[in-house]
Amino acid sequence: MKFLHRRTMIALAAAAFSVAAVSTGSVSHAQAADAESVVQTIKKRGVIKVGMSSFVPWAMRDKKGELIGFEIDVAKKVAEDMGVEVEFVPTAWDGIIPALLSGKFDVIIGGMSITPQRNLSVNFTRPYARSGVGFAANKKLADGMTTLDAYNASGVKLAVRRGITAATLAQKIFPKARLLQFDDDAQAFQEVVNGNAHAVLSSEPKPTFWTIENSDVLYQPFDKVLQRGAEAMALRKGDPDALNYFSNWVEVRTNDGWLAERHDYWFKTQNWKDEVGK
Amino acid sequence: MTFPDTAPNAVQPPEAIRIDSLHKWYGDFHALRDINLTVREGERVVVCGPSGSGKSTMIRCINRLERHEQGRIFVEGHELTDNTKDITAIRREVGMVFQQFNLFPHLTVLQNLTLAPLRAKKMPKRDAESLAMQYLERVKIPDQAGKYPTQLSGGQQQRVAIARSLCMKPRIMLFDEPTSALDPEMIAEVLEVMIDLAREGMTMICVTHEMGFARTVADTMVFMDNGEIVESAAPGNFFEAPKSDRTKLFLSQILSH
Amino acid sequence: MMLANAQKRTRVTWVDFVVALVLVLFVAFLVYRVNDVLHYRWNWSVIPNFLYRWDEELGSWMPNLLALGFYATLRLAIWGILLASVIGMVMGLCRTSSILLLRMIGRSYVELIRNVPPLVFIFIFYFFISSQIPLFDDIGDWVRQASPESLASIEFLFGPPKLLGNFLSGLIVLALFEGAYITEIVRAGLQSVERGQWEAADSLGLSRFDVMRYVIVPQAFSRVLPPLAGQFISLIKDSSIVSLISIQELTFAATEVANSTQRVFEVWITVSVMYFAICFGCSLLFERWEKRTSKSR
Ligand SMILES: Nc1ncnc2c1ncn2[C@@H]1O[C@H](COP(=O)(O)OP(=O)(O)O)[C@@H](O)[C@H]1O
Ligand SMILES: [Mg+2]
Repeated sequence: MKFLHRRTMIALAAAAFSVAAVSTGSVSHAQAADAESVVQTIKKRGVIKVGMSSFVPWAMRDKKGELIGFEIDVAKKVAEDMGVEVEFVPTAWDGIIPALLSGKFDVIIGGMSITPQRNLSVNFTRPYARSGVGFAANKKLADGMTTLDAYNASGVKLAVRRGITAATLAQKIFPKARLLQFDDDAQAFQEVVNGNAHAVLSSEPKPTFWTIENSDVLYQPFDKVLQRGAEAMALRKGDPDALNYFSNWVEVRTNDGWLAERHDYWFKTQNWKDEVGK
Repeated sequence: MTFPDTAPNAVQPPEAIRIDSLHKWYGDFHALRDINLTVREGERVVVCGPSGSGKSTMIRCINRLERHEQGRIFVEGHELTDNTKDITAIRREVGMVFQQFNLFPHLTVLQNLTLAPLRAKKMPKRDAESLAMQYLERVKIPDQAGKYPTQLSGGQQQRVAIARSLCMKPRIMLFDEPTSALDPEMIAEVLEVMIDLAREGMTMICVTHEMGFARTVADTMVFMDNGEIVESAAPGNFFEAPKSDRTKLFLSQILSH
Repeated sequence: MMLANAQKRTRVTWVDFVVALVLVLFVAFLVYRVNDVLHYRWNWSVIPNFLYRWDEELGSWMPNLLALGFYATLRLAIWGILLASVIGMVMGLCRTSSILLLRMIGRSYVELIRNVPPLVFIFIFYFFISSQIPLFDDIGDWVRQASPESLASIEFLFGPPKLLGNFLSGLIVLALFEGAYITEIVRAGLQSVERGQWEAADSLGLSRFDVMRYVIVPQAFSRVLPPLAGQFISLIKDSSIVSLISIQELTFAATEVANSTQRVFEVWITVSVMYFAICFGCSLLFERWEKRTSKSR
């Protein structure tokens, strides 16, 4: 019941929040008060606070309940290179940008794809990963539906996680289909496995992993990803030092191959699967 | 804190209550019209009159459960004003007994009695309890001390209510139709307690229609109608030779059954 | 209530059999649907580990995400109930005060909260107001320097010290939100005490405070216990909305575990049982309390 109008409420809240923020002329006291770069704040504090949201295999929980994943490696490496400790602030996806803006953490390292719209409220660094939106369909329901057009029809139900890139994309490519939105990815996939939706859109490698695991129910009708994405760290606006620092960190770690090596470990292999204990 | 400016009368006891030209309105409704009444120490006044004539309103003004708009009220020489501290002090001197008993249902009989001495007078618990037992004996129900009010009969409840007021050692007692809510067989036991109290010399104002009781204890009878005091006289004159036609009519109605 | 009925009606009639049979059939049908129609492969084996796990290095059992989430919800519930009750009591007194300004404050508070959706209220409070109050940040810095003993007690009372600032703002949001409903319950309770009780207490010469403390509040209290219990249970369930602001209570932990393990049904069923345990425990507690207060009347 409470979550029935959740999207509307969040839109409302976001609107209220920006009005409130603009009317006092300060989005974050940290940035407005003394214009100190967040890089200095982190150094002084000795801790970098990283906002993230769990999303396989970017960030997830291992058997010990600890955070693991590609992004967790990235954040730990950033902290190591800065000579500070890392503190993760797991945050619901819906609230992650407002939380950054109000100074609840220093940076989002949360598999966030760069979009022009998001870029209006936050600054993005250089991308540290390039994902794509993948597609997995129910073998029975979507039997023989192997073209994009086949899914752009009324009566077709597509499952997505609320608010992520995939949801926007689904609306764009399949305007005629009905969109079922869920609070987490697992629910969206489960819906297709259960046969309540034709297909699910989500960032790779999830569609591939799920298809492998549920090969009797799921298949991937297209061999290419639907859309390429670029994931970057997000920072508050008005802090050129931080943008410069984190962007160049990505540059350096791209060039020395560290990012590629980690990315392959998490996205191309499933060696980490035992750690999660599925 | 002014004293009434009349010349003190050496023969009569001092004034306990004096009401001067009192008026009260409920919105547009003129509930009390020019009430003048003096009650001396030890005097017993019985007030009667038809329902809605303002009897309750008048005695409730005396301990300021109702606020008056015009006129002055003195209790033991102290004028009633908006000063809450004075009001609280005066209320400790003036006990009140209600038609509906208004006992505290969440407290035992004993706790009902000791509450005010403990909180308002800061009396030690042991003293308060022995005082309470003393008054429960006077109203003849010491064995009910541990019960809750709802476990008692109406007559017992009203006697507890009287004892509760007496525990504050008031100098004046106000009764607002104390027996009207009681079954006939319980009226006597409450009146008996009130008669005892009168005999001991307590200053009392009783609103009641128990005319037998009135004849026994009243020094002064007051008849009210339509917000006014119509007649005020000694019981002999009041019952045998009422002056006003309204009084006559009322008495004939009330004594006829 | 349920229990009271069960105690009263000890005789089992055929109606009971029919009801029980329908229930059993319904559950069987659900199980059949999930197994055969939904193609769901049950795997409960991951759940125990996310409750308590055996730590090799420490050689002891450690609470894992779901248990930690459960404790966080329990902490939120207990502190939330205490704080919301205080707010509700104070504001309820304001609502019934004879002073106009206090009545207006009470009224504005209640109307403001009741007429704003909880999520919007949480967003505004947490993201805007609490970030304007440096207190919440200072708490974080202060905690980083606290001694090990005080850290341990903070952890016991409020959960992970690092997230103390978060916890406090989530707690305040929750308490402010539920406090409005408690205010109304308190107001109704106070107003339900008959005028004669006020008059009797006043005429004894008790002070305003004593009248409230010893006569009005105790009577109002026993009357509002049942609706209050209901509101507290709502509070426990509503505590999941603060998962939106990085408070790792049960719902949040469950989302993370469900995401990581993809065992959606198992996780959410486990979590429902845990919520039920807390709420039902709260009901039972209040039922006993109610019986105690009603005995003394
Ligand atoms: N709180 C009140 N508001 C308005 N009118 C009132 C109130 N209390 C009493 N009255 C009116 O004042 C008149 C006198 O009431 P009351 O003193 O109770 O009469 P009595 O006790 O003689 O029966 C009645 O007409 C009654 O309706
Ligand atoms: Mg009356």
